[in-house]
Amino acid sequence: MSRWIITGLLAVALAITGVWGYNQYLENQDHTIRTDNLYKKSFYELVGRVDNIESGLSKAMVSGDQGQSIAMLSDVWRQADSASTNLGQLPLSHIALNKTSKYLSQLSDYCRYLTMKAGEGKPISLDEMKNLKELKNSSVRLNNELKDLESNVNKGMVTWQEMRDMSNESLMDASQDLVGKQFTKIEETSIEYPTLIYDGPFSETLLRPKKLRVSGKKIDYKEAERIAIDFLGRNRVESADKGAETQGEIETWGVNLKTRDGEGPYFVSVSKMGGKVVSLICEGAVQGAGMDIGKAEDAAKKFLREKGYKDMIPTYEQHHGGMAVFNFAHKDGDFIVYPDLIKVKISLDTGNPIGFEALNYLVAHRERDLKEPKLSPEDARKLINRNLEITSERLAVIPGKSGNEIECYEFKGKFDNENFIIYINSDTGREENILKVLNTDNGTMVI
Amino acid sequence: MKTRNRLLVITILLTFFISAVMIVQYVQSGNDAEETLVYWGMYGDKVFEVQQKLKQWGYYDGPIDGYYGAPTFEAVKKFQARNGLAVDGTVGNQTAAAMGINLGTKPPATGGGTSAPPSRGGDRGGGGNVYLLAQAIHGEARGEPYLGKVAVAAVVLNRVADPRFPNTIEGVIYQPGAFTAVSDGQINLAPDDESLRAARDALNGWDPTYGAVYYYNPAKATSAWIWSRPVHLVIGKHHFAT
Repeated sequence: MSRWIITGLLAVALAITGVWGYNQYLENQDHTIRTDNLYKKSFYELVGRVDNIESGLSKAMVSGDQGQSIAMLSDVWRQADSASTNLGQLPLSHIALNKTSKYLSQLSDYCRYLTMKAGEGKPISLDEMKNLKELKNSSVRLNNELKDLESNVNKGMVTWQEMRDMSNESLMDASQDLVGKQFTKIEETSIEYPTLIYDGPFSETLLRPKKLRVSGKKIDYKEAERIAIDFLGRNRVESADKGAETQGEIETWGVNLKTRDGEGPYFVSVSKMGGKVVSLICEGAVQGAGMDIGKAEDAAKKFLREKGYKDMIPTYEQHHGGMAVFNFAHKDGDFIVYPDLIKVKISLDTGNPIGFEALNYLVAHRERDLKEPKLSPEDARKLINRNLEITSERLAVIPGKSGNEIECYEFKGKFDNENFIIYINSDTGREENILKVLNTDNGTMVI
Repeated sequence: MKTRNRLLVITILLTFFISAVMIVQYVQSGNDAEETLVYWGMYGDKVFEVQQKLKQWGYYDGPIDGYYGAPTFEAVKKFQARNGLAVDGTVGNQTAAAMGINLGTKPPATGGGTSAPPSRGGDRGGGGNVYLLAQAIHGEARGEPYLGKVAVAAVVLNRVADPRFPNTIEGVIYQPGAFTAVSDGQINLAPDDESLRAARDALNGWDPTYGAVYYYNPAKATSAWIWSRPVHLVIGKHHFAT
């Protein structure tokens, strides 16, 4: 009797488990299909866009009409940008996609640059035409390879399931899955084009590693420790020990510092060549926040002066959670030089400096030969949109898109109750940049 | 006799129970199942398109006549089986999407998993999403020293600036397989105060790695490739490399 009840209960339990398992199976299948579909969508979009890139590039080269080729190039710019987004969505190891991704990013960037240039009425040069041709040839090869891959995917020879399994292991060997293999092959054989140097964020000039412009001899760790302790203030430091050091283009010693007052701990990075403090990071949080921002700014200025950075002008400020970060730029004669950037962070509790970052300054700063502007301030002012009510003007050096430096007039002004900063090239009168100023509760920012 | 009766009752009850659950299940799955749009017996342009695609890819070798008969049915089933779709021999939204056909009716269901995190940080400086970056730090480098957290965030930002990687913070963080914390869902944890601070430091330009775009834990990484990258610095368990 009771045996039957037990058997019955077990049978019911088994049935429930079975049903539950089947339910899980269905759910799993549903999820698999959904994610698979998203991957497929990205892949087909990528294939379509590379197709459009190929035809767009060839049309742009053939077209004899300036307006038409601008339209073609700007379309390629947009297509390449979207294609690189699609590429980033594929479940493939990024190691397999490195070159293709770089190709698409640079192609998009290069076409943007040519569009802008053509928009100013400048023709495309012979060299640029040659580059376009090479870029187009790469797009033809990439297109063919992708079509191959597409047909393999469609024939079911390659499933996205396999790829997803592979990609779960981040940074694992890239070339074990089929699509990954195919992409590695594409990269080895198809993507060949010249080094592109132009006015854009992905120009090869910007990809070269940064180097510090610091003279002096090589220092050992003991020396670096002494420099770090002096930087924070010998009386404040309780103990110091060796921290993470960096190798490569920018070689630094790392020093961990503990303070007597309990603020910190700090990490100081000192360049091995010349012994300059490149950055200071406070690892602890700030408790209170009573200090006025103006007073904090004075503290930051005083700190920079003490460390030997003269003629530094505060430009922007942001504060969060009891800390204020001030950007400083170097003042060189009449020019304010933005590439010579130093950031100082001040605790709004104690007024102590709790952060310092001078990498940009140490990479960019040098004796500059800044010439008298060819354009008079009056003429420059005439180039500004008449609707902007100008509130101030000065000379400035701003970083260009490809890491170059541009001498400009900086006009600050108001339009429709919003603040803007406009940069007019002080030699050519070209409008180099427009920034919108946001005055928020957390400080001034520009976008 | 009595026991046989009991057995019978149990069996009947069990069968009834299972079928009840199945029916509930069927109804439930029916709710979000794809709408059948092209199916057996249909005739028209859509069938034409399906047949063309299937023929092009070698699933179908019958005539392209716009009639959904047995050969088309079998070919669709074959296509679905090969592409991990539900094998039912009818072309719904998902199958159509997989074939690259727009059926021109309802748009296919949007995965539902693409909800962007709310920009709770409210920060616009640096053009970045502080909260998302802090989540990535929290998922990837919880338990690492503060410096290691800033470094992980800096690697994300260095990737954004590098043409070999996606060009936005979201793109870099959600690149499939790029970060383990994203793959296993740890990124969805709420970041702590330290991660938020580290994210802000990185967005403000502090980069302890001076340009690294990779990092790995040597105790876990098995890729020969990653070992070949020049290591820039070591913080906690992570090696940072370019």
